[in-house]
Amino acid sequence: MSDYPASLRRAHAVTWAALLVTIGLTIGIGGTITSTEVGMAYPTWPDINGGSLFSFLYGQLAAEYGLGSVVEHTHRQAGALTGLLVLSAALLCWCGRGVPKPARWLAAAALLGTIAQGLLGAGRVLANSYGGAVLHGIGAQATVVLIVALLMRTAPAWTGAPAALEAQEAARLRAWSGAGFALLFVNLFAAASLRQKQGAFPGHLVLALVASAALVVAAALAKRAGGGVPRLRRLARRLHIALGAQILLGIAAWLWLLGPFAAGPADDRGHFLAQAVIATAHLLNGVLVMAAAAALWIEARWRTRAERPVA
Amino acid sequence: MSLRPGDKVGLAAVVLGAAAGLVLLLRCQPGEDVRWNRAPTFASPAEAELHDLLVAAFGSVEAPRAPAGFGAAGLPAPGDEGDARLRLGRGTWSTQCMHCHGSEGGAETSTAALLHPRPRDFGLGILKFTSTVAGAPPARADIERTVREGLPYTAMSAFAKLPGPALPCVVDYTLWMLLRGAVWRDARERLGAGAAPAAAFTAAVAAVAHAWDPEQARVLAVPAAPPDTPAARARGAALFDGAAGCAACHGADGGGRGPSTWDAGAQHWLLADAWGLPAQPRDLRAGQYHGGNRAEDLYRRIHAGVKGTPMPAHGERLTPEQIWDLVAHLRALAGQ
Repeated sequence: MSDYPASLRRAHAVTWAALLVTIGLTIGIGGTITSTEVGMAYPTWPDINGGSLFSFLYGQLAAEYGLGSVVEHTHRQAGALTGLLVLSAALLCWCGRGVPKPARWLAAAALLGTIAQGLLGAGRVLANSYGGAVLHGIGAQATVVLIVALLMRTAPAWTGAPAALEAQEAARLRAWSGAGFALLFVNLFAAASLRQKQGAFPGHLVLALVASAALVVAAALAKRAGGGVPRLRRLARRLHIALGAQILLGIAAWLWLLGPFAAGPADDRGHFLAQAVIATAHLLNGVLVMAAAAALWIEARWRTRAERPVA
Repeated sequence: MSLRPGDKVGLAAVVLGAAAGLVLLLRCQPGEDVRWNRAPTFASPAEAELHDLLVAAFGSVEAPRAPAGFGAAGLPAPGDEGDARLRLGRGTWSTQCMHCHGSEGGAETSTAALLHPRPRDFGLGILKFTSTVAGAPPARADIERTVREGLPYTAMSAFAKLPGPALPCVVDYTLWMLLRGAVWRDARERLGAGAAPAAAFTAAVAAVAHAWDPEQARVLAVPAAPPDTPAARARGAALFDGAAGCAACHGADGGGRGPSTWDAGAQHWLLADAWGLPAQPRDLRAGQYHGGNRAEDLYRRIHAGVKGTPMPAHGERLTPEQIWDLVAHLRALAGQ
């Protein structure tokens, strides 16, 4: 594939690694921090009370500052790994030959976003700010969106021709996928506010329903309009699956965190663990919904073209 | 490229729905975290009766009431205004404090189990680090300072940025928790000694109100620090190893594992604090003191001890000059 430079291929591979580390480790552990509420296990940054960020003596750490500090510490280490991977992708984009300018600028934006997200985390801890924690939660989603965009822009598929769609179908797909993506982002603000006890549950519920409705329409349009475009059909299917799982996890989260099963037996670690797992799974799947929604919107906005006007 | 009318209506509907969601999110009060709410259990009907008396005087944790008799200790006066302050404090408590200190202030949450040192259980009415003399309960100012500045090197963060009246009200509520815990403990002890519930409760309220009166719980005066000289450090080192007996618990090297507190063979701590948790003397070489790193903080710890722990008060055994010599030695140990 001569029009797909090797440097772009390498950047694409590194961006995949960055996405997996970001969702699987950094956000996974970060979500666990909020679920177990140990975000202030130690109120210094980036070190633990004078120790090193790159200390791997987890047993010693747990003995000195408690298991919560290990969760917080590994989140920061995972964040540093995300930063290194995004930095590597950016260097490959900027130093490699034949990388298109948009990919370079997207890589720069992803790097800046990752750095800003790290600083938001620092600010949240140093200021002991729940508002800062909400911003840090939203920043994580924005970082994922930037990495997803870079992943798509560096993918081999991007070098092919955009898919041709009937003009009105293309317009409808763009409008609904854009609205769904934007509403999902607003709902993530609501979810972060709820988790940090800065917002009320009814707001999150209404926003979740509204965003889900918009995304269901967008996915249905993508399936129909993309009848001959496998990429669109795949994205629509993934979005439907992630959204269905998210609704089920949302119901479980309400039952176990706010509803009838919220108050478990005293000192029941299993109950607490179940609550933490459900809350973290709901958050992580929310990131997947966001990634799928962002990918669908990017695909609809930049990878489709209107073939003929409406009759 | 134009949208269908149905799309326009649909998109307008979801935008309106989102606006309604945002209003609900930000205008409605976040609900109380019910995860840590537990129905109280009692060892006997008499204890349940005692608890009813406690609730009648103090209200419940969710609907606190300013009790009579504790104005001198710093609680708001009984009445609607005092109750409103405590309820506001409970609101802040439920979002900022509860996940560590628990709904009832007993630090019984699973988050607390993940932290070291474990967050304070207010059920005993004891704070470790106070400005008051040995054996005396904390002053209201101690609670306010802890909330405002936090406890260094622990998960207890500084809450100086709490908006408006939130900080003084959560201090009121914390004081209320401590007093309620002290009364409950005292009354249960009296009940165990054979007193009737009503008599036990009345006597406990009087005893706690007396003990927490600032006239009784007097603040420890810290004399001006002398110059930190090599001679002072040498005298402090001699005291550390000898008359003051610090090495027995903190170890000869100050590492926190002395023969009285650490079983090197079995690798476990030998002493417990008032909350039943292992008492771990500070590693003095690290210079990380939970009660504060300032010289006057160290002076107070040596003079009045660390309350609720095996760290004893030395104010009766050592002169102020000797305590300052020890402070000089501690600072030298930590390379300060």
